[in-house]
Amino acid sequence: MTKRTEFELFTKLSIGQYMPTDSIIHRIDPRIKLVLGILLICAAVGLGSVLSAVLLLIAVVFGLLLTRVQLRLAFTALRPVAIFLIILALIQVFAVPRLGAEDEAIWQWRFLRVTHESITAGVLLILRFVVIVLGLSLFSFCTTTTELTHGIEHILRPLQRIGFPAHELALTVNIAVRFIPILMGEAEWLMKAQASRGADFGYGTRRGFFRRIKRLFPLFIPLFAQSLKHAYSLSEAMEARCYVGGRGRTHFIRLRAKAGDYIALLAGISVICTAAMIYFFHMDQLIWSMWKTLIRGGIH
Amino acid sequence: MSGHENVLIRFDGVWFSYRPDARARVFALQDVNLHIVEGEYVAVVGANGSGKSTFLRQMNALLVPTEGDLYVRGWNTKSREHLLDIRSTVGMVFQEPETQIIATVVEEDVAFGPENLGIPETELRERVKWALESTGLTEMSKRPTSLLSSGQKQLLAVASTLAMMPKCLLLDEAAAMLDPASKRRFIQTVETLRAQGMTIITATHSMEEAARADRVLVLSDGAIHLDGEADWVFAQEERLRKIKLDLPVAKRLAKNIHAFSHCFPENVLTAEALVETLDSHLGGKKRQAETSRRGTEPEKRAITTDMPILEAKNLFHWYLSGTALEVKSLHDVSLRVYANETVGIIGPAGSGKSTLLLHLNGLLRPAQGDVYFDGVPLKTASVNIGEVRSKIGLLFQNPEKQLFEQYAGDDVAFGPRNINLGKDEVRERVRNAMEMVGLPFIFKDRKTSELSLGEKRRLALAGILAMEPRVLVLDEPTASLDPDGRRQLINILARWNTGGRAIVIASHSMEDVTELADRTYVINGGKLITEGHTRDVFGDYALLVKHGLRLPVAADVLRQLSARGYAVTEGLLSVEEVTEEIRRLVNDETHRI
Repeated sequence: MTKRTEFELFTKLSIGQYMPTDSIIHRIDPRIKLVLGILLICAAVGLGSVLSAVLLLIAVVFGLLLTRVQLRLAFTALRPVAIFLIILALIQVFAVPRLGAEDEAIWQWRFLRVTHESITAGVLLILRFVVIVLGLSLFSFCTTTTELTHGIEHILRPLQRIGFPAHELALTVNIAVRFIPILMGEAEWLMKAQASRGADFGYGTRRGFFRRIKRLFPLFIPLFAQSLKHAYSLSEAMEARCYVGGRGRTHFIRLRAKAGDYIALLAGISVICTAAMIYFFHMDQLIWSMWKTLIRGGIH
Repeated sequence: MSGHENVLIRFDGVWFSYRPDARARVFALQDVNLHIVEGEYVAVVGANGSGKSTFLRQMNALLVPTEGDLYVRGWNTKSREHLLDIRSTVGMVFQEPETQIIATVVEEDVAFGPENLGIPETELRERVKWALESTGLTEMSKRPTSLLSSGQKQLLAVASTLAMMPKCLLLDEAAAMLDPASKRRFIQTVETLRAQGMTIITATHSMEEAARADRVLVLSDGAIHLDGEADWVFAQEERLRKIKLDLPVAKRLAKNIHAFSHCFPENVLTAEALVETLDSHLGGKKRQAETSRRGTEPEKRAITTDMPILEAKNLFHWYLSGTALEVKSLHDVSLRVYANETVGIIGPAGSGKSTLLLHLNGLLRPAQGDVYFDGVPLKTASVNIGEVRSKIGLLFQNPEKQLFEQYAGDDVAFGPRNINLGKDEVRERVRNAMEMVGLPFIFKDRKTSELSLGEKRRLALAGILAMEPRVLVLDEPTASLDPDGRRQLINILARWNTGGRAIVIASHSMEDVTELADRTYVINGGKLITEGHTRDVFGDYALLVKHGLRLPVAADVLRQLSARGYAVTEGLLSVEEVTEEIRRLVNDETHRI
């Protein structure tokens, strides 16, 4: 539609964007979403089996469908890294000699060796990555940063008894999240102000990389000064509203899990447990061999 | 100021220094002795840097006296024992909407104060509900704070303070950054609270706002210069002028009228009161307008050529285009700027004014349509956009935040150095630019951080002028300047606009626009509502109100007279013109008697 200028720093947001579609996923208790999200990432990283990764992927896509956000939007987060991902996967497939050294090669040329193992490793790499990115998209589509910080605070609150600053941590995250767009906006204005006075990051697309970096220096100093000023004003505003730390505070927001939340938790955990069982009991090999016998049986 | 039993705040010989350990102590507050009684409505006025903010911050113990004592309901602010009592009794609303909101959701921000006070949950909920109701924000309770307009953000700041159930509200230029409609709503909200018994202490640059208070404190160099009822304070014209403050416009008009009609009272402070007094002064004898008369057309400046210097043709723009959050921000907007002319752009907050300005020097590129500089479209491939930007100087809102060098001279030199001028020429340009804005050349060695707000504002303007632009594009150039700083800036701009140059100015201050602009564009919702000679645009009162704008105070006096049936000429805007018109009216009437 329009060629954006170099000053719009916000234009390409896909991951980390909240989508207010108010689906059943949106209404799940943020603590549960947080726990399931962390478990999902652990599972995706820890379970080295294609079948469990596929299962996780199906679960995440199912979750995304339930949010009623266009699936396309979730996949746009993959686009910028797709090329790196494919290269990494290809390296896995062709050039990892260690993997399956004793395995029979399907194809070999000099040091390039393709084995069943290396194909599996490549596919697994892509699957894991897709699961994590889509999982993060799912989480951010249906969780506001406010819910996120409340979730963190509620989960960590029991630790307050042993001196862990749960409230302070949540408040810090909250403030950071609030100030990122403000600071980005200010950086944008500073760039515009400097461009109005002849600084050249606004035009000429093929400038040298170092020149561009050099151009950024006059931005950092005023931006840093601004951040300090903001921090000062904010702390003043907090003091004026009687903030003296987490002690003795009451809480306006109280998260209460309902039946639906427990069902969601149960469903999520059972998917992850199934995936774990597939990996730990080598059920994919079992299924693989069953598949092979089936095909052989079919040929017979 | 009587009745010692309900004294809320008492200053007892308060001196304050930001660096009490420095060898040569500079006092930001000097020997302040006064008390404020519960239920009072106090305005604090003074030039930029006179100590207004420091004064306010003493009262809720954000700062404590270096010498002397300050008591809030008998609690000494120096003893930390009653800190929370003091801060919940005296709440504070700051100027900057952005940095006083703590939570990401409206109701949670309101709850932040009482949460800190340890208010139990049921009462907490009641307080939040009540505070939102009192500020008219109930419908927004679940909304993300980032999506509020700046006017709503300031109301939220009031609500968040109210939730602590204070006895007194401190407002530190809290309405200064708002557009006319939001400002009106903000002041109404505050005055409703006042009617319910809240003590209000407001620091402001607007003499109009100060005139509404019962009591006015005038600060100068950290000392209380004048303290008394608004009537009395604004009668001390000489003393106010000496410390560079203005009178309210209504008061100036009243004085002018008094000069030719001696029985007319001088001590009228608001437009409403002035109209009321005039109405009774004229004996209520109303004349039906025979013919609606118009003000004389403004003396058109010589238009040197028929081709505009700068023209925007049918601009369309979308923010965040191609994403889920796409917002159409300009819709078919056209604008022409001729040589030797000043063009005003008015519209409520979020109307698309700033977006339009950013298009004028190519910082934003339109989705459709184009901007023409000297007849050349900026989309043309051969146009050097950097050169165009140096010819169309754009000065942003709060330009003092956009000074990026440590020394004033370097900041002005930023532009000339970017276009690779020789050392001598840079020096010459810096000297010229600084002289044009009335900063002596020796200021080049000052640190930018140590300049006053007015000086920073002028320095930023010098930075643009050093590029030797042909067109100046200004966004809210006078916001939060004191009357003297504003007057200087307006004069500089009027003086600069000669010899084929032109100015585009967007402002929430109707006074700025009517004083400077030959023609005015009204923009709302990204669309052009109307355009025309400034007189004609401001002649259409209904249209202005519909789009959240207002008349300058003097013009509003005439409008109200006209609404009461007096035959007045339409489209008169300045204090002088309005004085003349009232003189005609008064003489006419006395003639008839």
